[in-house]
Amino acid sequence: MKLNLSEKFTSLRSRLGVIFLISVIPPLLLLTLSYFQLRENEKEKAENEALRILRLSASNEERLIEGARQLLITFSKDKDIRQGNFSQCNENAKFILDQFPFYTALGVVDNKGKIVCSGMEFDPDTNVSDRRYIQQVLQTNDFAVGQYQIGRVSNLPSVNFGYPILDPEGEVKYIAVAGLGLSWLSNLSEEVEFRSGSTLTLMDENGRILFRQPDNEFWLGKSVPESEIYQVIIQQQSEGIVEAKGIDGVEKLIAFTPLSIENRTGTIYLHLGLPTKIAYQNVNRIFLFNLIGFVIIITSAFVIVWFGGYLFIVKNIQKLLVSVKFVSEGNYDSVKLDEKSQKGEIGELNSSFYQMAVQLKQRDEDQKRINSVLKNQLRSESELEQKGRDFISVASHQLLTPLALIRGYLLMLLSQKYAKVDKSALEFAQESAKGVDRMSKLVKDLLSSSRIENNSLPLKKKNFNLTYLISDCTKQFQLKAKQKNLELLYPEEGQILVFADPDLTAEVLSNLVDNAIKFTDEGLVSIMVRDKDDKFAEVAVRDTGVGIKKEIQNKIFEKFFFSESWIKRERESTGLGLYICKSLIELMGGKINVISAEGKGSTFIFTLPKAKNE
Amino acid sequence: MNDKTILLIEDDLPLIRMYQVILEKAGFKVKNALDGEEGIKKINDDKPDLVLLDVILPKKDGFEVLKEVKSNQNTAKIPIFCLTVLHQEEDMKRCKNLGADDFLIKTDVTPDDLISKINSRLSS
Repeated sequence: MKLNLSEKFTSLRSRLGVIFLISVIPPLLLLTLSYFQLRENEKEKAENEALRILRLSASNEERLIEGARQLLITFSKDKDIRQGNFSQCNENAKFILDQFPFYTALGVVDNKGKIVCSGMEFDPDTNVSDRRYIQQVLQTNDFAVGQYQIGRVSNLPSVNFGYPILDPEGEVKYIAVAGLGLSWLSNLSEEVEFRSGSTLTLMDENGRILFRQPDNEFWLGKSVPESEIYQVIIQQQSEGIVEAKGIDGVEKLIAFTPLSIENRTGTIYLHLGLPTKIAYQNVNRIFLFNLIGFVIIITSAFVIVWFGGYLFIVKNIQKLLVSVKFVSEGNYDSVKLDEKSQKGEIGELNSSFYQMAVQLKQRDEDQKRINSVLKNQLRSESELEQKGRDFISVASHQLLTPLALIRGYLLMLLSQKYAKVDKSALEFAQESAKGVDRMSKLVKDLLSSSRIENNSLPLKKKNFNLTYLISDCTKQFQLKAKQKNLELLYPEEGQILVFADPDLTAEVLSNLVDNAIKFTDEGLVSIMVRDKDDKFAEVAVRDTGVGIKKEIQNKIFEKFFFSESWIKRERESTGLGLYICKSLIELMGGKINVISAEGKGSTFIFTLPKAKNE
Repeated sequence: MNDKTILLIEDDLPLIRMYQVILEKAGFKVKNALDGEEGIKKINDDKPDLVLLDVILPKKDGFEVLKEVKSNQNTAKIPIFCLTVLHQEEDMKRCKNLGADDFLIKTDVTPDDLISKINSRLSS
């Protein structure tokens, strides 16, 4: 999951965005938490207020009832009543009722329940003996409070009180009665400031609605025993607060309390409801306000981060990235970064990278320059080599062609077939031919050594039998040896396999045998071959000739070396023969040296690598 | 005296004259060409009995001439002797591989050698 996330938000910018969004979570949580706290506070506040109102109502009622008792006590002391002067009583009662509008009724009934005096018009036949509070007064001889009920006459809810008026014998003679309406509740709701939307409801223990503010007329007398709030109130039977549906089915915060009065039969319940919507209106509004503010702030902050991040971070990084690409392509000049050192990590990164690019560029240029120089050198070397080779070949060809011409004509003279030649001219031609031969040999040797020196000699190594090569090569010198009366010994059979270039080996061998014959006047020239060790085969060319002085033995393989004795003896040497031999042998991985003493002949020994097993 | 024709393909005029003397003395009819292209043309046109071919030539070198002549059925049987001034194994091998019938080194060969080699070739 994490992997997916980091794969999804790969760009620096979106990562910044994600970090920002994550950072927004805690304040959002805090905001929500504070909302619930506020809500809780608000609830508590509303509850307290409601309870206060309810308690106020309860004490109001108590006071009113107490007031009613006082009134009835006072009223019952009236001597008009005691004297049975009920017409005056009517006047008095009426007067009192006018003074105290809370009272719905005031009068006197006799102990049979017949109304004898009333502040209001009344039917003289009306009998109230069935009323429970009357019966209660008759039983207890004391103040009694009736039940709230909807008045039969007024159709208004009221509660009645009775107070016994005793005859001198202590029997109940009359009962002073008073009715108290619920207009005090209406008044209360006017006095106390209810929150708009609040409802104040009074119901009896059967769920009958006695008072309801507002919409009293609609609700009055209706029974709602099935409503949620009724169930709660009846179950709890004490003061409390609950969130429940009111009688109108609206979700409310409801405070409730039973109003129980001493001497009252039955209990009534008052509850004050505040729709949760309204209760939390302020909190919700504040929360909404905060939330909107928060969102605005966050959004603008996000915008700032998004664009600021682009401007201050992403842009630079992108610039850097482009530069990195340029550098990786070797396109250093396209790198556009400030070389000045800047503050901050990105600045440092930029300037460091710039420095790096500059250094890389420098290095690259150096490398390129070196390469181009090398290449030029190489080119010129190879061209030179090529040219050199061509030059040498061409030069050799050019030198040799006229030699061939001279030689040809000299030979034609010597053959005497093509022209008439006298004896001394013949002799001159013979000497000339010798010079031409020497010249040819010199040119050939020069060509060989040049090729060796510039590595243009084609080397074709292979396995071959050295014995056969020796015998083939040496045979050609038999005539020459015979002319000097020399014995020429060489192996004719055998199997010594070496890995070398046979043509070059033959050239070396010819050279050595030719020299040996040249420098030997009597005796023999012998060629021997053997396996020297696991790695090398060894060839020795031995003669019984003049030998070589110790001092010059090391020098004879040098280029253009001419020994005194050689100069005295032979003018044919080019000074290159042994140099070429040594070079060729070394080229093929072998070694060459000489063992000799002056006047005691020489032995030239060279080695060649043995054949490779295939 | 015989009536055999020898084509000499050689760019060095003094050499041509010299070989011409040698060959005519031996009784051959001598024709010559100064470069490879001319040489091929003359081989095709004149059908000489033998060709002396210098390896180093202008326009087309001796190897190319050899290759063309030996790969052409009409001329493949004409014997060709390669000529060079140098004793170089590589060139010799190359000539042999291309079908040359002999290899002569100008600085080594004697007039008698030349004639006897040509004769032995033509009589065989």
